[in-house]
Amino acid sequence: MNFSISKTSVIGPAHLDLDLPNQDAVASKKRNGRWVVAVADGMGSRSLSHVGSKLATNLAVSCCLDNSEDVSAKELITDIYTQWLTGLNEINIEPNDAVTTLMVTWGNSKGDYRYIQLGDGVICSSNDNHSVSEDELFSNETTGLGLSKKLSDWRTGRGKLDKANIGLILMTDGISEDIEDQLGFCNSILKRAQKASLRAVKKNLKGLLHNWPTPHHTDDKTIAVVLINE
Amino acid sequence: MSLKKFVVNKARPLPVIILADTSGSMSINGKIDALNLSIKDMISSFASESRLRAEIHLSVVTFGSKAATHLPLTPAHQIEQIENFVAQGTTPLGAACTIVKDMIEDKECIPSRAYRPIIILVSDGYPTDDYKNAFDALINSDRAQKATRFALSIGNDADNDLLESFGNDVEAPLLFAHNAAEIAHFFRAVTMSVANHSKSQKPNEPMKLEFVNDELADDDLDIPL
Repeated sequence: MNFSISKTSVIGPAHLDLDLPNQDAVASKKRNGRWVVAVADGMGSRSLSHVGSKLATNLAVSCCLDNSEDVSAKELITDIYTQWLTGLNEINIEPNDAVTTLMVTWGNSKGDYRYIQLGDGVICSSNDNHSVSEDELFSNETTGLGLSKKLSDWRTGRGKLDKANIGLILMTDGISEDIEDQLGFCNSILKRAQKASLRAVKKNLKGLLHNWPTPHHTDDKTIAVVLINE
Repeated sequence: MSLKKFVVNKARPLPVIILADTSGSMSINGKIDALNLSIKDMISSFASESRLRAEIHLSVVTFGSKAATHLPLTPAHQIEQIENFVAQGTTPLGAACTIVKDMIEDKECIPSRAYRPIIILVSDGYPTDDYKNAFDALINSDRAQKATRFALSIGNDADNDLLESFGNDVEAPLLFAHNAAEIAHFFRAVTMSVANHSKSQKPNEPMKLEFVNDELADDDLDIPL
């Protein structure tokens, strides 16, 4: 089973107006039949969160591929978090100035996948919204690397991609907070990508993110799509 | 289906819920009239606020003789009129708390994309129903804990300990109104604070109550400029 990965990130109007960088980051890699995608959203109020988010996605990608497939979630999270803190320390940045969410999915050629998530945003397959929970209260209840110290703050899990569950989507809260039917949205993207092409959907998504219909939206917007290649 | 159709095309709601005592004792000394006028002024102020960053939604739950949803949670700009409260009967606070708890926990009514609600309890007396469990269930519910809660004690006969335990603003756990004018003053502060909060960069932070000095400075002209 082969997989295609597409990534789209658009800077939010608030950051554009203030001449600030995109605080979201996205990275992916495929190696020896394994694949990984990471998406992070730097916390808006932190001056160097764009550094934190970029570092987090790059480290998450390498940690997932460097560790064995059956590494425990705790071990993997500790590995990513420790390397993130070391990386910031090397460039003299305080973790509190670089707070970022992190969502990672990774899998193999058999369709098995796993995910970890800290903070806001959504990971959704065709069949399941992995980020929905009963304890969801109100918008922007954010935590992230640089704030959280508890394993229980992370959402972790696994699933399987196949003909009925054709792909995965990761999106930052700049997108997910303005979508009520998140599963329907993701399903629609994945079906279009399957029917047309991932490239066509990427173009479509870029247009949507640039012309976001929610009034006075401010956030950066990032979405990654993983799709089974038939 | 176009992907655009999945995106909500309105600003996030900022729910404001008023829990108002309309028991018989509120009919004395112009208290209920002041409350009626204050709520009407509040609605007209909210209706004219910008809805770009947050859309103010208002609900009023009354408890006088029986508890009732006087105004279901409605976008302020869509509220055409509100019936005057009539002060009568007992003070069934517990039943009113249950209505508010059900409202705040209903994700159809207040979606997760909403900003933290603001709940305001206004009372001039002691509850007359078996309120304790319902009161505790409201203030301890997951979502109400995240809400910003203020309480206003009217007159000299209110249950101040109970009202104080409702408020969760450390700087203003309980506010007092000793007459009709002070009820109006309190609601002007709530109106202005909510309006400013709805336009702020961070409408999801707990709201602070800002009081305005209603008295004119010596050099100020009393003209509606």
